[in-house]
Amino acid sequence: MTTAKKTAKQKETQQTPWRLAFHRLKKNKLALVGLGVLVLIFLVCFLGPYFSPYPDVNMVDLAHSKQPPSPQHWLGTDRSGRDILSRLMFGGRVSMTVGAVATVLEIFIGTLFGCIAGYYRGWIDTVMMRVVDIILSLPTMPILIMISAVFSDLHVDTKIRIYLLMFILAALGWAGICRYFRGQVLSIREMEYMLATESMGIRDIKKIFKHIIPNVFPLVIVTATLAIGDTILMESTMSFLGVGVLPPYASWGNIVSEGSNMVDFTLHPWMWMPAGFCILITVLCINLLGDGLRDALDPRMNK
Amino acid sequence: MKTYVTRRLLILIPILIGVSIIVFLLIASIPGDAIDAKFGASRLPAEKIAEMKALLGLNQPVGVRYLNWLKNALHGNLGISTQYNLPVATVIHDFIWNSFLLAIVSFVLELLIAIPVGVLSATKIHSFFDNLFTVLAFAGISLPSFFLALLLQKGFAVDWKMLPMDGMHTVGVTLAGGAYLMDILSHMILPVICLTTISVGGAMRFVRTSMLDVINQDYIRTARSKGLPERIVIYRHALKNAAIPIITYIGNSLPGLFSGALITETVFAWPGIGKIFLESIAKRDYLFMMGYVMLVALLTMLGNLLADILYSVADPRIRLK
Repeated sequence: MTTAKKTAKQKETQQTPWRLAFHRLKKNKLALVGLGVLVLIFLVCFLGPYFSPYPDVNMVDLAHSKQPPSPQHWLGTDRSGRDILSRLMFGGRVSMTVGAVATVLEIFIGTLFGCIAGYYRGWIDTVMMRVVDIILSLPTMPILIMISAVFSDLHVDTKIRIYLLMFILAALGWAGICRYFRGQVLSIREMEYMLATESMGIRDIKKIFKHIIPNVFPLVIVTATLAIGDTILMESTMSFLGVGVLPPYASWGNIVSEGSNMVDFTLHPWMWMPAGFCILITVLCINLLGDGLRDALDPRMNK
Repeated sequence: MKTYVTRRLLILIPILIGVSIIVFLLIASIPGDAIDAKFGASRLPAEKIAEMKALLGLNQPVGVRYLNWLKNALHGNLGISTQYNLPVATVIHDFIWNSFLLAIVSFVLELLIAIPVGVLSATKIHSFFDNLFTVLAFAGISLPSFFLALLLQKGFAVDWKMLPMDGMHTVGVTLAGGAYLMDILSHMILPVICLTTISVGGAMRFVRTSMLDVINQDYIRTARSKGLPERIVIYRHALKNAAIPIITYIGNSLPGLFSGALITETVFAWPGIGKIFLESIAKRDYLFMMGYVMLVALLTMLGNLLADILYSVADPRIRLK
């Protein structure tokens, strides 16, 4: 058989790594359920308000406050008479957006710095890794709350604080990712195809972007997925403590917080329980999906 | 080994200094201080307030204040907590044991659940048992601690009235001896359930992964092909090797048992150091905030060091240089 024929035949049966990964993911039922539920939550939060009879989520309607779930208000109303389901949808938008944007930022910074440190080694690596060591030694939650105290005292506008929140979550989150990818790059650097790029005289920038980053990219996706879950948890905890997303903006965390005063907590559980379950289900689905992606994309798992 | 530990301990110094500078700058950029928080709303004359600030050294520039703090801290003096009018070290000492009590009980429970379940999951991979506990483990990891704490309070304290809702002692009752201990125990149950549920999922996954790594090794195949019973293969050959990362995990977690649980302690009004720290932010008790954050940072680093040392102790193939 000639070589041309051989490769043609191989092409038919051989699949790209991405398609193989997708094939493996399809076999993982837990991950698929996670993905499906996530898509559903996402659609409800972002499209739901357009079909809701309560478009103004901040409209106070004291005549209908503290109502239990009913056909008019599926999940009841809160102390100001606002529809809980609508608040959940808007809160979900905020929680998911903060989680996603903060994660994209920290992954971007972490991967880039990690690749640079791992690729150049030497003093650049030493300096960067000491900075990473310091950031990793900072206790995350205490620091996040203290930064928030600064914003509160400076009377930063609540809308701007949502953007700042994304930024500080990323500012504390990138270090772990940076260290992880540095390790990956250090091992990729020793691969023979890197020696090949060296002997071909390819420029550093091109080596990093064309030969190193594509090789760590599957890991980036897995890390990013799992990091979104963590970030949403951190954001909701901060919002619950009153230092994250602040009212009038809804977030799942601050909806739970609003319902956790003694009266509503014991008598009106519909005010806080649904928001808590939203956080749990969303983060759970993200983690199941992330775990499935890791199994699907990790080449060492090939059997 | 000795030189390795010494070197690692020496590396801690610049990192701790770095951490302390960041935290000090952060605290210094909070407008308003302890005196403002205490007397800002009162009608105290401005000169009086300025005098008190001068007394605490709050009117000096940040750099000078930091160097003073550093000098005192190196002499073991973390300053005075303005919220309690006691030395920071005393306040930490007063509350840290309450935190440790919760943490050690839930840590032991966590291991007692995670190790058997993790090992069984790994040996019966993709079975119903494995899938069930995979979902449960991820549910534990995904639970926001404040929500779980509220659910537990709502169920066990409000609706079923089985357990006290919060605090550490029943208010207004003086108990002694066994009754006193039982009272504390009943207050501990809910926060311990909360802490255990949140941490056990991660531990379970960790044990499962460690065990899976070992089961796929060649020497396990050799053991099986020798015709050893599966029980001996798993418990004598595999578990012994999987124990190495698990011991490392335990070492890594030990120092952290002293760092307090911010959210759980706050929701259950448990007088632990995490709850005191959250209150200290509202009261602008800077030196306590500083002391607490430095303590937690130190504990984290000691945990990492302990993990590395235990790793080499448990696995003779690893030699630390």
